Amino acid sequence: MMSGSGYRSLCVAALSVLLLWLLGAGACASVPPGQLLPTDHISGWVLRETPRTYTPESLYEYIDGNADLFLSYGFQSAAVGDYVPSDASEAWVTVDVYDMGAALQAFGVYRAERPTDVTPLSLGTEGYSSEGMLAFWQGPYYVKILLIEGDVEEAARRLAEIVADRIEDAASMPPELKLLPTEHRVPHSERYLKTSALGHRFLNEVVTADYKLAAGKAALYLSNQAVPEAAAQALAKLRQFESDSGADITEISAAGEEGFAAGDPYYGNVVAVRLGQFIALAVGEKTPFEDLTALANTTVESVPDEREKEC
Amino acid sequence: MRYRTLGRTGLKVSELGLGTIKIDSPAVVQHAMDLGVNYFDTAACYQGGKSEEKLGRALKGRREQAVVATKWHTDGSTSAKELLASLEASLRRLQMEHVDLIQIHGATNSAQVQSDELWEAFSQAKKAGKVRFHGLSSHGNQAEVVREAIKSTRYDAVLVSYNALLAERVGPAVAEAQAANVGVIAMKALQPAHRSRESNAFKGLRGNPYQQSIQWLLKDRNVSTTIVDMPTFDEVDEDVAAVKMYEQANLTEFERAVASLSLGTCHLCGSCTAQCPRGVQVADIMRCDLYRTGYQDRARATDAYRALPVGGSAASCGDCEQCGVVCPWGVPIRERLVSTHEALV
Repeated sequence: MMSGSGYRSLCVAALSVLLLWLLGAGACASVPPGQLLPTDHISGWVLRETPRTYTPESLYEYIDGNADLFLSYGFQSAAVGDYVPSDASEAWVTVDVYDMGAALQAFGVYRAERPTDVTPLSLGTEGYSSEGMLAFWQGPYYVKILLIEGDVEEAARRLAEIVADRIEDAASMPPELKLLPTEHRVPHSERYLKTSALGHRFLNEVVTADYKLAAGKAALYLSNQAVPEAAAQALAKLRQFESDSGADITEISAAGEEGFAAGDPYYGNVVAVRLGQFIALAVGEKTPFEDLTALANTTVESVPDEREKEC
Repeated sequence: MRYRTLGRTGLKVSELGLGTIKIDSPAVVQHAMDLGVNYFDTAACYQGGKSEEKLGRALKGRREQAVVATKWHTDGSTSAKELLASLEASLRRLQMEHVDLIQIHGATNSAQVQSDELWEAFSQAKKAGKVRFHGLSSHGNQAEVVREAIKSTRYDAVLVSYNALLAERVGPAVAEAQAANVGVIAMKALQPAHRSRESNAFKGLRGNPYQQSIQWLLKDRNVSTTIVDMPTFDEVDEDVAAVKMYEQANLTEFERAVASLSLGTCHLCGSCTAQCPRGVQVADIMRCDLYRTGYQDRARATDAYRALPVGGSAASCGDCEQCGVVCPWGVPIRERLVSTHEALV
């Protein structure tokens, strides 16, 4: 059981995170992405031509249908630079800089695209190399370096470092992730879903992570519905969905204001708990309800509760 | 759910297919399958490959019920070896032995469509049992790309942006494809509905513009299926409901609203030809604008604009006090000429 002063400190920290999330955490006054692209001679590499820029309306011209994913994460603008060796030898690196409008959104699209098998890189807030590319995110920017032609790994890394150095925003993980319990959390499983988590239109502004509990695997989703009334409505819709699917629903005594457990036909065991404007959902195909309930309860215990006068 | 034949493939595909650009929940995919959707479109580059991974997980145990299409990239010179490596990676992510349809991703020109390396890669993959049919997708320059595909006889299906707003531009090519027994898969069906959010044209429309956008498309029997991104249960339910009702749907109001959206859009009618007393080649510049904004083919737009004769570009458009060129569709000519010039010079 946490001491009074310890709980108070946790409340203050959680309130700070909440305020940042409500105010659009990491919503940065960003410089245009074109200004982050190196334009001078860079260790034997030069820009092939003037960088191309893209807006939400024109992003399709560059990345076809994949533009929809970026737009769903708040894409603002992009700049693309093609770099070639100054000695005209056959090699080519392309640097894409996407302004996603906010650090949480840059993190979101970065993790959405991050392949399963990558080599982590110390680049930006977080980065990796994979076949034919490097990628990282920092502040509101998501950066991809494509190794198009030739033996260009070193040049690609150098270009990435220059871009990262130019980003003035802090290289820190989104504070919203602090609301997810750390115990048993699978490293690098955290994601941000701006809309439609678990296939539900009403589950928006979600941070999620996977957990390895003693009794099985679980996925945790924490949705910030902005106001308690919206969270209550969202929970009601979820309860209705489960009921319409034929699931057995059990009301549970939760750390929050209300909660239920259900055997979802698609996801397996689901526990949903609401506290104030937050909904915590723990999902595990065969993980026992009591373990999922404990995970969901632990989560809501870390979010600020407007009923707590001390907070 | 009803099914149509996808051209010469003989495959029976659901009239509503699922696009997977934003796929996240396998449960939604399974729900769509439960409602009869059997056509699934993905691509190697969607979500950095994770779209294929998620689709593969969702279809585990139900592969035989699904028609799966993915894509590979060629710029026209991409080697067969690279293409086959891309396909192998896709199959690994999908956890499948084969895909039903492999498509060029975003074809815009003849070099891509006619690539012998591409055909070699497809032929080898088909022989190995890794693909069944050959197709392409196109966002830009679609009518021309579709005609190239038909002419080549190498393509079994084409995936194009086609909806009520694009009927004039793309409809004829779609009909030609169907006549040549090349299956047509339509994307961007919901574009009219998306436009309705920022336009008064749809004010007072009875019914759901999203459903009516899909219904309009399915009334065209030249289309075999339409793929729609449906990342939520609600959207699957809404769109499946639209499919159930399209035959009896009265779309007169919807079509009227779409027609009024078209006001201010160039129809390439040529009425503006030779109207400018200074010799600015208005019709040609409008075509360049179409390549850029409509076909999303900036390279083609730039080349075409730079090929205009001296005096033919919009460089001197600001000199006239008032533009005397009149467009019957209400396109603000001078404004469009100036913006095109600024974008392409």
